[in-house]
Amino acid sequence: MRSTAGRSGVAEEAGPPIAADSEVVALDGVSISYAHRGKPDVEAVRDFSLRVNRGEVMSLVGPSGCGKTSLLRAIAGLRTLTSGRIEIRTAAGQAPFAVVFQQPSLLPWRTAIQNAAYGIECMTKDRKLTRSRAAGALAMVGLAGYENYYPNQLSGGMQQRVNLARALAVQPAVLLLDEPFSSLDAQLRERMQTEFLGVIEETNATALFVTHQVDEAVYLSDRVAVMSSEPGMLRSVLTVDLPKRRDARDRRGGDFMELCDAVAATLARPAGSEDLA
Amino acid sequence: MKRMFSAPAFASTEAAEAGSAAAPALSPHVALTREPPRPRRRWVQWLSANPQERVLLWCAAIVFIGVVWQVVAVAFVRSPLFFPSFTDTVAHAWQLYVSGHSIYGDFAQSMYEAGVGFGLSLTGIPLGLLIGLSRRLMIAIEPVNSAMYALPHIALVPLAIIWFGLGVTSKAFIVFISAFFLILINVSAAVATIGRELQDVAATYSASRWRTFITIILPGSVPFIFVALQLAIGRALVGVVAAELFASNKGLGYLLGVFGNNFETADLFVAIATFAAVGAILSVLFGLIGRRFEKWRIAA
Repeated sequence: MRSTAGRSGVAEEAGPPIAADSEVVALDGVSISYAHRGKPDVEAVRDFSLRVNRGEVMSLVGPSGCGKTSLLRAIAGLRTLTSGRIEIRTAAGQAPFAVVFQQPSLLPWRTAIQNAAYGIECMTKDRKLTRSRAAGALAMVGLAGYENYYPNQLSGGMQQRVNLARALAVQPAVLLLDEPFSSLDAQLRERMQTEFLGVIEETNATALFVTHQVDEAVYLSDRVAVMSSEPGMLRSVLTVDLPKRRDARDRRGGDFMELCDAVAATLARPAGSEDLA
Repeated sequence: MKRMFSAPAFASTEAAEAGSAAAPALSPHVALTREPPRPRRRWVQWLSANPQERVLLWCAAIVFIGVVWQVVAVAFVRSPLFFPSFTDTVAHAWQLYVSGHSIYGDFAQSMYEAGVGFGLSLTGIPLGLLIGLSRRLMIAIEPVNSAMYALPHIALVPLAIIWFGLGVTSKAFIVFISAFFLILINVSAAVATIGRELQDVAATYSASRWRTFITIILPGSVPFIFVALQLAIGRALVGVVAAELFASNKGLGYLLGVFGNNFETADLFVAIATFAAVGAILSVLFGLIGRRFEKWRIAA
């Protein structure tokens, strides 16, 4: 089954699908601009095309203000497109996407498990299923035993885990992550990154991960999409040639450093050097 | 080289220059110590262990005020006509409420008027929620709302009497107007300020408008609704007193006028204290109900 998330205003009748069978997310010529009253529109993203394959973690890196968050929000339906098309393929009854927000964004009057259940509640009336999926997702992020704690009783890292669990619990076609670890301290961030890799391996999830940190992008992804800014365009897609299973030691290795250098060099290239082969 | 004005921070540098390797000695003077706090006094311990701590503190404050009141009245003012003592006032209250039964009808009348008006003003909660949901409605209602909120409601008393006569209705109307717009303005503002982030969460899970309202907007507004109700109680009582003082033949407000005109100062104190007590009790009650809805905030 195929669900098109065509949000370009007119194109709900869609056309022939642009995504091939193995592709979960297809962005085709997406542009996004912001209107400011009395000033010319600001083009945040221009003519952006990208494919994310099933079971793949794709990172989107770029300098701040390059429109990567705008793209993610457009996929999530929180922004409108100016032109282009976005498609997400799902299995029958599957949620097309779930967002892990930069801030925990938990409902303060709900306990951890009630927060984790929020997304499933919107999909099904089955209380038992809701509870078991929420509890499972909490356990997966290492919060078993904290089900009945309110967000203000949890640390920042734990709140962010609940945020992740809420998205995992709906088992979406693609996880959309918007710099989810950026507000954590360095040590906690590294730990959460490694845990995230574990979760991805366990669930075989497809993910689109927005970040501005090169090492995070390389560590977590199968492929890294590098963006230029003003307007945000796709500059290059680099494949991370490391074993799928990684741990913290791998990020001190020479291969890892070389990959980071390659991404950083692509980021640093002068404007107008997009290779859109 | 010898410096005339060397700051202490430079002392070690100077020592090093002079070729001495000795570290600067700690001053024998202790500037700061941190230790566990001393055990608290026994009565403080007893109080904080007591589940009724709050009530006990309230009682203590009331007793304290009563004592000061008594001392001021008996020792300094010495004129029951001008400033009756605490015990005088209590005696009059006993007579009015217990032995005489003369004030009950008036008390009930005032509470009935306030209750009807306040009850009707609760429609401001759903209306406020509705208005807060729509940015345009919010803007449209703004001038009217601000005007009605700022208007001294006592100014409407003569009009209320022309419209509704001298009975219960005119008083209930004044109470309603006093409380309704305060509730409306607070509740609609609460809805409008609920964080965009949480609504984004609902949107990304394709929550319906109704679900978004029930799971995010309503629980987010609850604390503000209870604050508005607490404020509205005060305003409702002002409304009752003003309307009854102006024109009525029954009610606590009416009695205020009668007692005042007859220089029955102790009785006047009883009537005033009654209003104060009703306001305090209702306010605490709403506060307690509000706290029940806010387990999550207190949980920390």
